[in-house]
Amino acid sequence: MRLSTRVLRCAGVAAAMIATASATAPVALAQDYPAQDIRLVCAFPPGSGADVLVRYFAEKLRPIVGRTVIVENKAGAGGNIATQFVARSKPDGYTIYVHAGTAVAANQSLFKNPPVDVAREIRIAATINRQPFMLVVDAKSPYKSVAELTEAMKQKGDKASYATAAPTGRIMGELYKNATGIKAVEVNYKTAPDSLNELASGKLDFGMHDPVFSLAQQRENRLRILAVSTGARLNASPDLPTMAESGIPMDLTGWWAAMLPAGTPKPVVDKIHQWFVQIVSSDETKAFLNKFGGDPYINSPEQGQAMLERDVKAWGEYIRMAKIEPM
Amino acid sequence: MEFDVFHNLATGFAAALSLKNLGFALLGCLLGTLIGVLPGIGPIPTIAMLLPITFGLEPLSALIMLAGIYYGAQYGGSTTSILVNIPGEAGSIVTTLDGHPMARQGRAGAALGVAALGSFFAGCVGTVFIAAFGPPLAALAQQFNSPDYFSLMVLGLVTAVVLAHGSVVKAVGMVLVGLLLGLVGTDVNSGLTRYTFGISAIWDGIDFLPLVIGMFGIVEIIRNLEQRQLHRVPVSARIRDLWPSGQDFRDSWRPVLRGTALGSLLGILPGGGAVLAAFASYTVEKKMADEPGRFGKGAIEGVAGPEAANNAGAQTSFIPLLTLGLPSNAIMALMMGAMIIQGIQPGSAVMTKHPDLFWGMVASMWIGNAMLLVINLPLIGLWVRLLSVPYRLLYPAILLFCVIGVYSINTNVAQLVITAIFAVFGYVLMRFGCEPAPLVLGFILGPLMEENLRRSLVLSRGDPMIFLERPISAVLLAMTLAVVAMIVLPQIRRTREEAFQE
Amino acid sequence: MVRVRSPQDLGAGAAFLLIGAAGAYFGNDLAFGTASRMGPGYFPTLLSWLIIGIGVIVGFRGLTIEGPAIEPIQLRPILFVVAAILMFGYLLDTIGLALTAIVLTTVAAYARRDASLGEALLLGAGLALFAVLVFVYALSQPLPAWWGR
Repeated sequence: MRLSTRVLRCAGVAAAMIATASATAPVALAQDYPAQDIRLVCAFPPGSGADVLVRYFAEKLRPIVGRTVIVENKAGAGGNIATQFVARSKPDGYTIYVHAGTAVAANQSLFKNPPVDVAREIRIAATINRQPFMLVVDAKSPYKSVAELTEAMKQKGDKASYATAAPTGRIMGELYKNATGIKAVEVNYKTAPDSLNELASGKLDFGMHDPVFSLAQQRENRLRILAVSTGARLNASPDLPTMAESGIPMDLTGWWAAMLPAGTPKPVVDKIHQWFVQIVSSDETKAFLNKFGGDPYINSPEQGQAMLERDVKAWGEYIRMAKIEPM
Repeated sequence: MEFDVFHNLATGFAAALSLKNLGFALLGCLLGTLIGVLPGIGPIPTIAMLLPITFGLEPLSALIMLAGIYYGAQYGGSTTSILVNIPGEAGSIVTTLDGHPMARQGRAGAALGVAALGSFFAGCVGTVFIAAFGPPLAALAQQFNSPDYFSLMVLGLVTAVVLAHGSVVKAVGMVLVGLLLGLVGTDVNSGLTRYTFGISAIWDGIDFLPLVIGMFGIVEIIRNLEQRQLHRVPVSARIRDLWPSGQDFRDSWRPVLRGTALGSLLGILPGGGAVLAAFASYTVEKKMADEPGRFGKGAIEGVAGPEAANNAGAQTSFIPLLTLGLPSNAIMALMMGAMIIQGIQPGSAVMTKHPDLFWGMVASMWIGNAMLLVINLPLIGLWVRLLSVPYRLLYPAILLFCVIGVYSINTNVAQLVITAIFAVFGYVLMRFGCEPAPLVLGFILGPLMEENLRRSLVLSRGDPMIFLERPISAVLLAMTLAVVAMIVLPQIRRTREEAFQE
Repeated sequence: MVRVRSPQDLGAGAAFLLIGAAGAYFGNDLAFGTASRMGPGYFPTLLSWLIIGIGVIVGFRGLTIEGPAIEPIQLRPILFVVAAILMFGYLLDTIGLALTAIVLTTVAAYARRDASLGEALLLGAGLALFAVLVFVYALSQPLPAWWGR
């Protein structure tokens, strides 16, 4: 007897909960956008450099949007898990992917069966920054320019070693070797900081690393940056020469962007574009991005999409040239 | 030099003892204890989730709170290890080996008390280490190259065998299986995937949490359910049983000292340093005990040493971040993120450009440890009483928290499937008398070991002598041989005795 | 006629043999490389064969040295607990944390032979409330409290 009363009471509570939930469940329409909380997807684990960047934008979006903006980390598979998640989510503008356009493009060729055809399933809403990769040497080493390094590496032949930690670094290394004919051996690391000890002990001659790491270590007087991979010098670090200036033709420019699943209505795309332009144009963001070694970079959604398609092809070429096996 | 340290500490304490910062320390410690106690959810998602809030805070306050969460979780993590045999993170695994048997014997209070007091002592010493020896220790850690890391991992793996209190051969087998499982995922050196069968969830390797929760937590629940009568831990409300006895103190103080020393040193090494500390401490204690057979059945030394090592490692793992700007584990990476958000560039400049930040942090660590002691000791009575809740009400709660914690890693359902698979896997192996602890150590150290081995050989162009040429590596390998001898010789003697008897 | 002296050891031996064989088989297509330039397949293959070796040793001990018997396996606890975990994963995104918690508690309760539905539902409701308050509101975890994200 007591048992059934309890069950009935539970059922009653459950029914009341269901009723309340359906009554207040928000219905998302493009005109009401944003009517719900927004989530930014980050393809890297919490605390990483990328995560800091995404969380910065979440913070800046909050007052503009007037709603809660949360960050969801979906790390793994070199960004594929996050890309897949975003491509499959509802194209209603409540899931925004903040990631590197070049990485998303490169993954098309880095994997045998990429889960997403990014050119068709991902839409760029706004670009955020433009950043290089960097050629670094130990601060104690005698090389002050790329030319000096190349000369020394030619002497050393295949006894030279260099560090890479990200696909971009590997590509940069291959382009460098192709252009100069040096025979340095590539040594892979999981993360750039892992290579620090060996750069310091002289076991490695140089490294191809991301700008955040490179700039931080140059500030600490542990490493010296010799050149950047972009085609033109950056405003963030105008005294760093480009590889192209040193005679090695190269234009590897990483660019971050806010991306959406394809099929998101145009007014929503434009609204998101406006928000990001507003944030990226501010001085505070410029300083923030400069600290990460990049320049603010504003493009229209159409330009961004064109950049994505261009890079899918370009990186396919690079990966083939670098003889990187698709996984 | 000494006068400088005291002067700096005084400045630090002045900053840390402000009402506001005390409040943040308390908040961090409480939050950390809460998530440490909840099985499954750990400091990483919590700190990540609180990072945006730190935007609006002052740098010192933000870091004090986040740090409080970190070592609060260490204290709390030992609670679940002892009470319900579920470790929340790598360092607490070892605490389950003897801590939980102690709880089953009705000595949960003693175990929790020793863990808290040992951790406090270790925390204080660790703080002093940072203050006095920070930069030179960090410099030492910078000497480690790939061959040295490899040799350290080998030493660590050999100690894994000592963890088992059953058959040594099966323990070796479990270590090897753990190594193999650790290799699942993407290979750093070639970029190819191994054993992933196209499943993107394990592309970066099997996650630590599902494996540990599955093999320890879920198996534990199943094991308890199989008892005909759901076990009720003998719980007594006498104060005497809530507190370590005089004998317990006498047995524990030396392990605590040794554990603190091990933890303080190993915590500085990036990657696997602090985890190794707890395992290493257990090995040392087992080897130094008069009756090693007591271990695994509720030997208090097996709780005191590793808990001290754990906490000392947690404190000293701040050193590379605060002095060199290099994070030594995922949580330090988060702290670094918090500093960058505040506009502070982590690195050696922090000590000179923001001395109040550095010394304030150091002082607040000591304060945090004291707070945690004050928080945790009275809670012991509460936890012990919690054990007297009928198990049939307790285990669904434990199961729910575990499951939520695992899901929260990546909000990926696949992680739950992996947990279920490892629960079955662990259950079957347990039925065959194989223990999970050596497997977990192999799992953690395996990939690091292989990565460093292959990289060392690439750097030396295939010359294996590199492991003996580097002094650090040579020393570590020599220590490994010594440990192997310590394990193997008694076995040989025993087998010979058995043979003679027959 | 070979007598099984230690069923546990024999079982362990069989388990190790199986794991090692799986490792060797599925790692077959990975490049082996040489000792000085190890390919991705070097370590896994080496480990797999070592595990097979351990399996043989342990199995041998199972046939020669006395050891404990394997305790009888009860299907009910393990089946229900695993089912509860899988159901949680399947249902969480669809009907939200609160309801899924109730489902989990109820299914897990039936892992015992003497479970009562009413008690399980009540406990489930209580835990659901606690979980939603602590995890979704206090700790802001990205878990849906209700359905319809």
